[in-house]
Amino acid sequence: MRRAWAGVAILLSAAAMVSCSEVPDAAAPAGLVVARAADVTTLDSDAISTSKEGSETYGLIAEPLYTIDAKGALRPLVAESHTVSVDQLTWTFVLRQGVRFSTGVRVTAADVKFTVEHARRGPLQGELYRGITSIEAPDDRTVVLRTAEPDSALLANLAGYPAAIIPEDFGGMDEPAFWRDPIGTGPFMIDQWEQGRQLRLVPNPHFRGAKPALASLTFRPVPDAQTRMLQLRSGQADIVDGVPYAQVDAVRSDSALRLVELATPTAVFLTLNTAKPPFDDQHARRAVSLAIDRQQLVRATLLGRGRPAGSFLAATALGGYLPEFGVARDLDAARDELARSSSPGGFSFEIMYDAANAQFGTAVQVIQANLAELGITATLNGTDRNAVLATFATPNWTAGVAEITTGDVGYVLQFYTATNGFGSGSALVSEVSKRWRESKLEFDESGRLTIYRDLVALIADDAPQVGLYSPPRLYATSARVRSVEPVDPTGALDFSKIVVT
Amino acid sequence: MRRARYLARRVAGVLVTLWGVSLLLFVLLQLQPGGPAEAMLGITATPSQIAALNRELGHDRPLPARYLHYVAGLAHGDLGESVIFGRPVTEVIAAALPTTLKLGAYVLLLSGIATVSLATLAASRRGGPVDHVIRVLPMVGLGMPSFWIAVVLLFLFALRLPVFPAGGLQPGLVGGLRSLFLPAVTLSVVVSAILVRSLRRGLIDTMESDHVTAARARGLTGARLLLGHVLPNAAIPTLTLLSLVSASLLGGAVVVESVFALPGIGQLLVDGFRRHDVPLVMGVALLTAVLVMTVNLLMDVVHALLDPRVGPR
Repeated sequence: MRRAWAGVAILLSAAAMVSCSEVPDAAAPAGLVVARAADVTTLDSDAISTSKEGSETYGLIAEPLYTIDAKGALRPLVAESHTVSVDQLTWTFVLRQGVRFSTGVRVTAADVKFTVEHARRGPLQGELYRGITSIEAPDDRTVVLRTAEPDSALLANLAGYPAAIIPEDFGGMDEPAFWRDPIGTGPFMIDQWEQGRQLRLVPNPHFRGAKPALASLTFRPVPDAQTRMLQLRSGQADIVDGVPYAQVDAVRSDSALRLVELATPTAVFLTLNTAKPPFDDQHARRAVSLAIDRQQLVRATLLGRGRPAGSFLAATALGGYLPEFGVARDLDAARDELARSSSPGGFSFEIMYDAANAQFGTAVQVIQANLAELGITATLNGTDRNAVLATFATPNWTAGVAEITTGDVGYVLQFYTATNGFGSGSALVSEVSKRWRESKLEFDESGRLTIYRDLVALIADDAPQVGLYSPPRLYATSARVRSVEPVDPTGALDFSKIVVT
Repeated sequence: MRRARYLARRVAGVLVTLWGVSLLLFVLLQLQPGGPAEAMLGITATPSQIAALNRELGHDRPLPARYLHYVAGLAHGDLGESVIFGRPVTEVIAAALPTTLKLGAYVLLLSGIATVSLATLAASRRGGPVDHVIRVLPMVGLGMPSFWIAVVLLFLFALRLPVFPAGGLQPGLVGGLRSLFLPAVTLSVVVSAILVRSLRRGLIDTMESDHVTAARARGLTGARLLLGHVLPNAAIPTLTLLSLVSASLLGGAVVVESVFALPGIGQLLVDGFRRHDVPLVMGVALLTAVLVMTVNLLMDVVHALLDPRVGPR
């Protein structure tokens, strides 16, 4: 019996010794390790639109002709310049000299032609490029695009990930193999990609600009927010994306850590079905909008971070603009609107929301309490995200919580029109469609912004969609990480500029 | 010959059950509201985009045609293409499976050591304070949710006393053993909690049996008595219980893989459900069914080997 116990003790000790031995990690990153909530599942330029992690990683590998910078301004990247014909139907791009793929091969107009033609065929994002009727490459540095009608949004669309330049004919690779190791002109290239474990990038030796100051950049998927924070505190990760709001103060008070808080063009909103009671009545919709306390929403859901939203378009996407109507709570005005509605004594309705989203869960409870003060009873229906999205496409819903991140306002308005106001049946859809078409003809950026702001004011006034709040993007970094800046308006980071001291 | 016929019957039973599982899963997943197109495109999905994507994914065909297509592919080892990964499901699962299998093996090793040690200690000190403590321990283990145990272990052994990594899977044998130790301990707490009580009871009953008394009379003691005469007989009900626990072990892996950021099939299942990736969910669920049934089959075989009264008749 004693020998049996000795055997067990030896086994346990061996397991503990093997487990505890501090053997140097062969794959210990020499550069920067970033812990993110999700893995990159694909880098296919069309499919990455469905994944923040995928699109942000692809943006480090491949570059489009133009890009939208952190302030929302378009600036040339692979292109040097462009001109638009007098009839605004022909766009001529001149490519920057000395741009090379990570393979060392020079970028030519034929690569751009191939890229745009490939983007047009994409089942998810192709619609953005189908207005282009022809693409020509008269010489190595010139690309000529023609559109069926004037389209001021073309440049913004060309700044999208599907139009990031890839080599003609996938550089001789078959397409699935190419997307497992895509070749681009960006500051980084793939070194190693292990599904679910890590994706490691290294600087592209042929990048034309200043080389990144990192030896490597490793993205690791860590779904649990607490584990991400533990990895940061234990030194296993240098940057963490998606800091829980509850940990913001703890990060701030820790001298070994830094908090990076960036405004995003994401808006969370309540969409109301205007095709059926009670929200076929404009006064009922306006009463709901006026009764919601958005400051309280920001406090409860984001613990005071972030800001109120005036519509499904975040203020960040509109140069900080918030419509006058609806953003501030006004219970007296809400009571007046309710009194003028077809249900002056109040009404009941159901709010559908994604139950897996804790923020949404808190938000609907705040809304429920806010509306109760007005005599409006909101019942809550937390369900699966896919069920919510599928129900929006049917007439069988009254109200639901949704979220949109706006890369380009024109793009969102285009889809607002095509989806009949996200399924709300809003009477404004035809007006939005008309104004959106006007915006396509407006080549002056400030003129376009004015059209967008007017539209947002119109939508806020009619309230088929009621803006709730805009969450920020929160990163935590170790104190040795410097120069953490956004690369675009969505709050993605510019890893080519980050320095590790 | 009788044993071979018994095994063949069991394998045929497994295949029929798998077919039933595939049919049930397929129908249930189709009953889910929405589809991959809506899940991928979000609220801005236009009807034309949804139609185009459904056409591309083959979702525009009638349900029976889709099922027959799926079963035909299955017969050739083709589980279809994952919507979110854009790669064959077999390839995606093959990359994730080793992590879950290693974790499962680690759990069985740790919980086996813990179960045998604690149950033997309790049985040999029956009625004493040690026995009472060991009888209460499983209650504590079962009362703690896996994710809570995981977070506490991470806090203690990855942050306060940094001997293990705070999640993730490190490369190499040593790296793998270090990375999987805390997740394995987390699951072992629950598994051992279930098994200890069963094995303790079995050991006490067996130690009081006539054949053990006879073995003692022949002068057998210590490890020879325990390993040669007591444990094989006492372990039979615990092995049956272990086959049932294996199913819940895979369920626990979903939580543990998420907290410890392990790239296993539990994570794939979560991602697949979240993004309506029917081929991926089907593939993982079928694999899970195969694993559970294989474990059950193996346990039956071991049971039959240990106890001649059980098995082919």
